[in-house]
Amino acid sequence: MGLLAAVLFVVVIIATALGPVSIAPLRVWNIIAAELGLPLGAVDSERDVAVVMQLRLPRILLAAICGAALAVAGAALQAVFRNPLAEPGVTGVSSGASLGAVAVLYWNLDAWHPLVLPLGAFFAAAATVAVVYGIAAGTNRSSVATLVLVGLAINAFLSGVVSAFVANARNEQEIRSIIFWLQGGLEARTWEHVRLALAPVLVGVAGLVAVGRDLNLLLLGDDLATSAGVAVRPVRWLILGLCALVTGAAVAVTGVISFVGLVIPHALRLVIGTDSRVLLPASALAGASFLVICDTIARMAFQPVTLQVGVVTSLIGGPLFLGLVIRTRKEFAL
Amino acid sequence: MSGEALIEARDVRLALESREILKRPSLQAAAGELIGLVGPNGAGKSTLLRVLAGLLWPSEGWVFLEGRPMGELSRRERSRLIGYVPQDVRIDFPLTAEQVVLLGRHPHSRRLSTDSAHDYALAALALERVGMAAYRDRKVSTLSGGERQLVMLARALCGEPRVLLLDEPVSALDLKHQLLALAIVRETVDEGAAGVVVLHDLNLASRFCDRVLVMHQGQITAAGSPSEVLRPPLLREAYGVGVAVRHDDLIDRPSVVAVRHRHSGPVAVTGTEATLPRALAALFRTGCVDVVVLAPASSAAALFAGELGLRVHDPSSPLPPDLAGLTVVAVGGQPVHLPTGTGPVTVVEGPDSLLALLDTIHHRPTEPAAGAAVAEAPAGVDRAVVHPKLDHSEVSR
Repeated sequence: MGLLAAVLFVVVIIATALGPVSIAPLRVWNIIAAELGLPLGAVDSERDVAVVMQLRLPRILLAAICGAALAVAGAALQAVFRNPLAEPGVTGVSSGASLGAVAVLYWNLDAWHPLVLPLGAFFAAAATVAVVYGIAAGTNRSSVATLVLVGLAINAFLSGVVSAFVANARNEQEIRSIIFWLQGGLEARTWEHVRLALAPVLVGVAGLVAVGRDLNLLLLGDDLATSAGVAVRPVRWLILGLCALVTGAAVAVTGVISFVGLVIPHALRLVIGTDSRVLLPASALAGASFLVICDTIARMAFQPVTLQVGVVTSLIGGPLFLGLVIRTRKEFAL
Repeated sequence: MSGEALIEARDVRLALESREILKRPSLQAAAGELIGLVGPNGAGKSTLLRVLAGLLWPSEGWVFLEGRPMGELSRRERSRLIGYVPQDVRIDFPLTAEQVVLLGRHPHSRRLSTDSAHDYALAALALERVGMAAYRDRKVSTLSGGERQLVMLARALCGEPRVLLLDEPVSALDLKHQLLALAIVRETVDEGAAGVVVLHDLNLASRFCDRVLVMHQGQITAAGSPSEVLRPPLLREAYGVGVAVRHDDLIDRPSVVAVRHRHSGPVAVTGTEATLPRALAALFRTGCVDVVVLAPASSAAALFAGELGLRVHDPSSPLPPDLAGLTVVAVGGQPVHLPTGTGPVTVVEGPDSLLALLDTIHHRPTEPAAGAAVAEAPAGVDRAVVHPKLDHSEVSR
């Protein structure tokens, strides 16, 4: 865990250092420290301070927050659905959140209060997760494929609704704001976005880590979990709600970024095992590092063209997802 | 029964999807008592066990844990008292055996606390007891069905429960591990726990349980010590198959063998005072109880047949409608007196030839024969005699 935290720290510093304007990592650290009120060394260049503090750091911190949120949500959803393919993107929860956010943008509801955006995303994500769970549990719960098929249908349906919103946008400005947001990624994200996402993600991740042992018991099935004293139904809805909360918060500020919740928990399970009490916090840290790295690749790989961060995660996550499907096929006869 | 019941179900009723699964069975287990719950598939055994475990709530009736109504205990209190092992646990995620066993400590640990050294010690001990210590770090998803059952038993033991509820805990185990697992359960119960174990193997129930309860169609149809309950007529009724019960001197308990369903539908058996009792004893031993004994009321054979739980009919009165046209097998000689309304009659020499003959009979409902046709049958099992009412198609077994 300490190692993962250290990795995250180094990754954030190095990612901030990289960019069209190259700034030495040590300088980056000095600048951040100075901003935090710990003058470690002379910070001379106003330009470098502006680049670090205004452009890069908010974007990178936002990547870290969203990566943590998505990875933890993935790990928790896999346990609660007892399905290795569960993930916010695959299950349609992210699409639900994005529909909520688009609806908020469409009706300009975020003019009331900026928090309306993540709240709208959260409620839509929660509704989606309830629908997905209701269908997946109502049919054959032991089938891994059911959940993926339900997610597929939900994703298709919700993106249809989103398209309808975009087509009906009342003016150019509105279309631009929706499209800009839909494309996701971390372009031009500011401290405002960091503030929006930070609190719900922290609350959600902390809540999920706190029910880690219950998640372990849920892996053994409802009967054993109940007989071990877990209030299965309320706990399950709490977990699904917290997943919706962190996913909603992440999607509200970045749009849909797929596969983080799949890649990170599976990679970590190979190394540290399945104990959710360890896996969830580790997923948060590793997910944060992962998305920062993906974002850096997106920024740097084809300079001056920048890719969407979702493109990078899809390039990494898609093949992994297929690999998982092939592997689980053997075990579950999809 | 020793002392107060640790766990008790009283007149519990439960319907699932409008099918009544539990029709007011009652069950109780005291400290130091191991109850074997047996019965055919679909009898409601697992459902009753789940009710006892607090996983299903009966629509009527009561469940008591340590003398208190189940609903009055908190979730946590219940989970501390009860160790439940379900029939089959599928775990797709790579938890290790040790992690699964440690989860058995959940009822005793606080939220956010890590597993203590004490927890680890108990988990190691539990794995050691079931002989799975070497599998500690193996992923349960890679274990065989039997190995997984042992891990699940260890998980239940690790919680130090006062009530053990086990649903077919040895169904996937080999001979050695069946004995090992049930010996551990017995040991735990002898140390003061109460146990209810659903078993399909009646001999294991006979060997390890203090009391055996037979469940059939949602009800307890028999309860008592193994030798009281494991009796052919009772088991035949519950399972619909012939059983032979002997006393096994090695374990000093009854042992049960299912025997082929010798014939379907009743057959009338009669004979002389000298031959009939021996023939009936042979029938009873092999579970052939679907017979009607034709013997004069208060004759020795009739009394003996009654003692064995066989149906008796006095030949001096005509056969009741449900028995009309019944095939008659006469042991040791032509019967003097036959009631009116019987079907064809075959004469056999003794018990062995009677059993052999019954093997060949596939009784079909027949129209009442117009006057009892008496077949001339040679002594012994001469299958060359083909009687129209006897199907000899399977004779050459």
